Amino acid sequence: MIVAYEWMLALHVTGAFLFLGGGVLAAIVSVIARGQTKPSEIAALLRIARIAVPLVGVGAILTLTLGFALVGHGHEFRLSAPWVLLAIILWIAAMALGGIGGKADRETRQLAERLASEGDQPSAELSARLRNPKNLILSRGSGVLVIIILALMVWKPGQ
Amino acid sequence: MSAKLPVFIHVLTATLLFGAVLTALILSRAGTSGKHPELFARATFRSLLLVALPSWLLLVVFGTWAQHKEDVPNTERWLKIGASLGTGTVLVLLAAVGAAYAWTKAPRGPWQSRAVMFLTLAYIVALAAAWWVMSAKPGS
Repeated sequence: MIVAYEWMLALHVTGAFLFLGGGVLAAIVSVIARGQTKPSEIAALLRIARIAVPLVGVGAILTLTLGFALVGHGHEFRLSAPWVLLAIILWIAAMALGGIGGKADRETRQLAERLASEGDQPSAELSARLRNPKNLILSRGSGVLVIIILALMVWKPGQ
Repeated sequence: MSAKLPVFIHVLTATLLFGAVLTALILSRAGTSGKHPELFARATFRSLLLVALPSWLLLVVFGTWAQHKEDVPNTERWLKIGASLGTGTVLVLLAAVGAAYAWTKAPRGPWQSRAVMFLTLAYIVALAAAWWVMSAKPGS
């Protein structure tokens, strides 16, 4: 039983690494893309950022399912504990923000790819899309929520 | 100050380190086979130098602080394995930064991007082993 719990915990942590690591990958590539002017270069970087989607997806599923399994496995944590409930709500909110932000990123990449095939000249529209404050708030907000979830997992307030 | 703060920063910087090295691995793979090797070389070098290295430093500092705050003895097997993987593989990380720098100087060079790819992959394997041992704590 102890061995099963150890494996579940390690897989839960692995999920957190994929979840956060995928977010870091997307963030680094997006920041570097904002510093470019040629649409072909921006498109190439945003295509790399797409790799973060399955990483974050697998990580998110692993953290949630293994999190439930850990709660159900022992008597240490309860699903009704406020910090567990808050973490689940924040997980849903992070996924929703990330999903909306991801749609905007996809549209930006498609615009960059179209501009690259039409002469590859710098574009004010593409530049504005890359710096759209609403999209930045969505992606950064999602990241902040995931960091708050990590803080809840470490502190377990009220436990 | 809460005893949990160093643990929180230790785990957060570990995920940042993983994300930055993973970014370098994917960029070096893309730079080896695709267009824009200059762009990918610069991006790889920045990811390693500006994100991975500072994250590694914070990881070690806050990991050591957390160990002292929580009175974890040095004799714990999971700590010995995790800490030796975390600090012992820094040479691999530094070698990856060096190879990435060499790649920025010769973006179409024959070995530079492949060296970054190999070194970052090796580092990720070591990092994954460290987080597995430190989270499962086998034998504790």
